[in-house]
Amino acid sequence: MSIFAIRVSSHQGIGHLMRMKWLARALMKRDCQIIFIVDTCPKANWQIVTEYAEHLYFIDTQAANYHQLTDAQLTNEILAKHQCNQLIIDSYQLDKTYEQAINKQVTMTVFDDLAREHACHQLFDMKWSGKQTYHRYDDKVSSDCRCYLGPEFALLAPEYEQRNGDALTPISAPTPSHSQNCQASTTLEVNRAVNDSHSILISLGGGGDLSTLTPLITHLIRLVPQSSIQLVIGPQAISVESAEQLATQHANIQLLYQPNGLAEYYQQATLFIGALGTSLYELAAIGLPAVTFSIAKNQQNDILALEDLGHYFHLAHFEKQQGEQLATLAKALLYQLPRVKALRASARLKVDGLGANRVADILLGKAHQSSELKVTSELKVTKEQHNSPDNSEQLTDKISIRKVNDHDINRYLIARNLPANAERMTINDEIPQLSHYLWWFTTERVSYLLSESGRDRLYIWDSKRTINAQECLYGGWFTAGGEVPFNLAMLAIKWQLVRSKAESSAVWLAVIHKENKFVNLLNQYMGFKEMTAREELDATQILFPCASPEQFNYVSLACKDIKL
Amino acid sequence: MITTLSLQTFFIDFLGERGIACTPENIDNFNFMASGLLDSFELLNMFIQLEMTVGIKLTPEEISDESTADVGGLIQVLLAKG
Repeated sequence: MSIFAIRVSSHQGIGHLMRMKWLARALMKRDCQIIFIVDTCPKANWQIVTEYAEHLYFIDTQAANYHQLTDAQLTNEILAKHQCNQLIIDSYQLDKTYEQAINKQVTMTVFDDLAREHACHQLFDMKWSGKQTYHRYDDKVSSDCRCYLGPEFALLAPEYEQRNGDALTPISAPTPSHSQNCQASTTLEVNRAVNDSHSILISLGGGGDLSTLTPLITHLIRLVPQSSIQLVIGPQAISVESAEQLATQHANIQLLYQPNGLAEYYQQATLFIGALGTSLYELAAIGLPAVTFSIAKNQQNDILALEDLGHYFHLAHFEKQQGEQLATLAKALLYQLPRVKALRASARLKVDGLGANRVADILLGKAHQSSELKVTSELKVTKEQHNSPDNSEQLTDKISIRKVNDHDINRYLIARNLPANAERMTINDEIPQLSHYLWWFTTERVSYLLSESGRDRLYIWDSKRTINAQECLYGGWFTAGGEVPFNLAMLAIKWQLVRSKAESSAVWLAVIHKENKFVNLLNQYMGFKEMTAREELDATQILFPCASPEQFNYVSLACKDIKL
Repeated sequence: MITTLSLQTFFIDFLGERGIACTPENIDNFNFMASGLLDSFELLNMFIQLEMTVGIKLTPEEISDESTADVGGLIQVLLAKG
């Protein structure tokens, strides 16, 4: 029988305790004994692991004389007492200093997601950072340290296990209607008609200040009154009274006090709103649409990496004052549920929930075959699918253009906010994510992406509006990254103008920053002329209220005059 | 009538005015994009001036073609259209 000691942090959220609990369970199923060494913490926290602990030790990390070296000394004593030579460490508070002080006879396995330096024999990091995932520990661990990286090592509860692509078993019977909208074979059917009642699950994880959610919940009740709201009260949550007060005022709020797990609530929910911790992989395994935000350092993620998991709506931060806007976004997402679910179902990277078993097998010496190559090739395939030739029009051998779709939602914003773009626009300020997501689901603007040899080069958009009986076309373009060569801009504008030739009674109206010499010349080359007609000037000021005539040139081109 | 020499002279003059010295011997190899010496405004300006000088308008597709990336290739296309 193997004995493992697990030194786990227990007062910086309960995420570490939860994941070590599931690892301990997997090890116990393999006839191992587990000794837990936790920080001195409230009973609600350490109770999480007692089910799988043969022994439980506490180390007072809040003591005035606490130091990692004394922590290591105590750990060594516990290891010696139980003749245990396998130590698992999962703590942000402990680092290389602690690891170097552990008895050299002990095999050390570290779990981390902060890409720190380590002095261990094995390292697991479930964080997905796109292509960077497999290089996060380059030069940070010794060459003989075995690194196991990526979501396949995510330690989730057994409820998330999916074998051979089987669907998760729903806790409650799924609604059979609208099943045609659900594209994911491994997700629970959660789609409902727009006017049906929805269940919104809100969680800040094990802790968090619940008062930050008060405006959000208040506005959700107002905007989607037919929905039920389930709010998780974690063991370390603060301002619990604010949530309890809301719950007494509104019957459709249910408080979930320290639930053992969220799987059953995820499966009943239509939408998740909350902090992004372990929930990232749980949501991915369930396939539940979500809007998340970061409340801790380890929750900061590259949005494009999250997209690989089918998660497209993540805010770098969330403040109380944004509650109304977030509630409005939630309403928009519920109205657009088929689109949102399609994004979730398009995940390039599937989370199968078998991480704990996989890690336990590795710890017990079973060989593991890295899925890095498989993952990389899958990513390549799906990227090509998103840009499939069916959706695009070839302008030349190497240059193509396609309509922007929901998969572009974050890339579009990243490009829009590039300084090179923002400074030339009528609105220079950076567009916040939340505003952008809201706009995305309400805009009538049609946008296109021009690519050259598979590389995204520029976004071009147009829109149409009738002002004083005149059909007005207006549009713009901006770089997708890097400087746009003049010929690409020419191609894009020509393509746009040619398409509009049929709109014989319409007129193009544009404003161009006076300092943008190239675009002024380009539009002149394409046939745009300085605007003189009063009606056109008035319409332009309605379309571009922030474009002052002092800063911008006003130009126009009647579609019937397009000579391209 | 446009000739190789008249077109070479046009490009030598245009580039020379912008401080880029070329000779009839090396002008054909000058690559507009790869050189990085002309920005988008100047490149578009060049095609506009070219159109006014020789009366040939190139389409954006022709301008984007690899064969017109250098002066020599561009001259061949212009002669073929002329």
